[in-house]
Amino acid sequence: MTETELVVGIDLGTTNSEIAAYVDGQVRVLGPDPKMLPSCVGLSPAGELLVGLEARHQQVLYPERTVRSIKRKMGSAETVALGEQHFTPPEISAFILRELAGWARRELGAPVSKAVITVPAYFSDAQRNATREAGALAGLEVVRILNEPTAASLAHGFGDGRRRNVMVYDLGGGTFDVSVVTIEGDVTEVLASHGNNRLGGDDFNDLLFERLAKEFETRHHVDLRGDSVARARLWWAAEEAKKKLSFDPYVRVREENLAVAEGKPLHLDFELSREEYEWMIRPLLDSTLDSISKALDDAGKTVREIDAVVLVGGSTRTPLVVRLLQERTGREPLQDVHPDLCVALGAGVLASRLGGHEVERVLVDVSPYSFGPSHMGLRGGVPYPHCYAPIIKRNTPLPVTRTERYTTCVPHQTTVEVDLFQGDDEDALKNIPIGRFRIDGLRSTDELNEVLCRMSLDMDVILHVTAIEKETGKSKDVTIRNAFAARTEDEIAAARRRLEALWAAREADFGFEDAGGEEDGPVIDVPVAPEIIDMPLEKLPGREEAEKLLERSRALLPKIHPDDVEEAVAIHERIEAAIQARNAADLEKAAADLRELLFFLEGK
Amino acid sequence: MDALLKGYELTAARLLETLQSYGVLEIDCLGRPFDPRVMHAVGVVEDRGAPDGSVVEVCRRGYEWNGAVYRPAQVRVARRIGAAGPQEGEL
Repeated sequence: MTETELVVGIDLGTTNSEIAAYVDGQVRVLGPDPKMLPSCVGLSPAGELLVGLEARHQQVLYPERTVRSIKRKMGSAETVALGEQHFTPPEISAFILRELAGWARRELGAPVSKAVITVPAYFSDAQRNATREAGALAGLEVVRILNEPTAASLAHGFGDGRRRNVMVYDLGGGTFDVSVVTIEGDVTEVLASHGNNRLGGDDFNDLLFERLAKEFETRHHVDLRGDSVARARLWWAAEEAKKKLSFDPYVRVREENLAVAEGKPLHLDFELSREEYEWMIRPLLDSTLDSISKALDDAGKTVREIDAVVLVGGSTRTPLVVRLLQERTGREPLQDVHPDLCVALGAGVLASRLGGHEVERVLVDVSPYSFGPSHMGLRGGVPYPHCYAPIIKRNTPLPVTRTERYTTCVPHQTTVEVDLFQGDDEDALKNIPIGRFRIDGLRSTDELNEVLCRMSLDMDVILHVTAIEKETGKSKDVTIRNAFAARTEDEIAAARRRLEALWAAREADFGFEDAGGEEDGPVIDVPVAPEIIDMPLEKLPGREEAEKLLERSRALLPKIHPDDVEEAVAIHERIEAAIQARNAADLEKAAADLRELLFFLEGK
Repeated sequence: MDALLKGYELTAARLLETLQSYGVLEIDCLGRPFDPRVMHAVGVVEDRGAPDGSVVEVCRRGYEWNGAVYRPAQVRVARRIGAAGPQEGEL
């Protein structure tokens, strides 16, 4: 190959496919938003070829002219019919690849001729060859067939030379697999892969659909399952609800005119909680945990030997997935690379290297910090008013909006103070205060009142926080700029003092009855570090060593005493803050402390 | 009651006009041939009266915004009996 040439990376998926390439110094997924092409191909009655969404649109109308999930048939001798014409699975896949190559050509302004294409780790030789053939039919030279879990590891930057064991948990629309991968430099090995190629987000949809249909039947005594149109609409409504429940504790499903009874239109207006949804899908997720055990057994690894858990596939956005995985593996699963695009990005990383561009990892906009409000709760069995759990966790891709549910502490409570913090410590007071506001005039009720807290963080690093009384929708919000500004201890202390003073003044202002709701809310300008940070990270002395120490220390966390965890995490934060602030002196001190702690811990 | 209804109708009309002025247009579907670019078929009707492949009902209106599909229309489409192949029942 010449010094640099264009090679693209393609995730040819069962449900969706994506294409990525090296653009302006980084690997990016290409194409029109949402950059995912439904893996669906059709022929219109007029003989026009339809690929992607257009083909999906005609599926119900012309099922005999439309094909989905062709990936399941790759490597088999079966052919599929689109109208009167017959096609092999590689031929259908070639239509998808051509469409993706077209996206890349339009965006890059250059024709695409070489590609890395990903396949599941469990694909046989016949299936891999069929994938190569699909590439050739689409006019692409397939320079490498790459295993999907390996691609996901590359996207997370694990191709940097060090030896690591990575667990890749991939829950897509219609397939699930979990793989254990060992990666060291250019050598990667999939040690084991287990799964169920008939389990995915579509099954969650089906369960939600059943729930909605049952609710409708209970209320109106009409069974919608027999009506194809109502069924389709309800299924799409279930899909929307599912997506929303990943970010909100409740979802309201509203579908009008689903049926007619005695000349009257019947509507569905139904609220579903995340708790109920999670209870519904729990058995399916439990079965994925069994696959994890099998994969680990086959790989001959224990959970402790796993250095990282990577999430792939849109269905891993479900918070319960993250929670269950964390319980099972004792590690925080990595989800900082977009789970739908992760495999394509990893293919893009390898494609870039083969094309002569060295990329360490893909760049994503993530929140480097966690944010959340403090709340009344139990700490060590004793009520404590400064309990804390982040709503937006660090390494979450931006922009993001998440909502959590809280309740008032006592009946007839009409005012709630919301204290906002940046950090990860369970004790809010050990985190950095970033703002406070108050919502009054809540309804006085005998029961505890539910208050939702919604946090949105956008690409411009502006944090919007809204408190909403669930029953009435009454709300109050605050905007915090420079939410990421890195600060030294002194600056934090100064910020604390300044904010305390501001809050004291604001408290005084709160004497009158607040109208709430319509006003824009105060804007707090958090002070920014005064010096302009322009030192490139690479030039910061001691950074590489500190990062290696961090890595070592993080690997130890699941194995050590909680007190030691606390101490280690505190030092981690100091190191991260010092790197962020490019403060070499602080970094050196923190790194020395960590080295000492590691010496002590690793010696145990 | 009539006056109230009239009031709502006027408001709705105003809202539509405003949306149009921002480049939002409803996708015209009823009676037209099915177009997978802007329409999503959610149902099939065996209807001898309507031409094969034409839209007989709009279940949810679709909109274009500045020339691009903002939300496809959900439609029911006529098909001749016997013209349909195996119904796999997939959505």
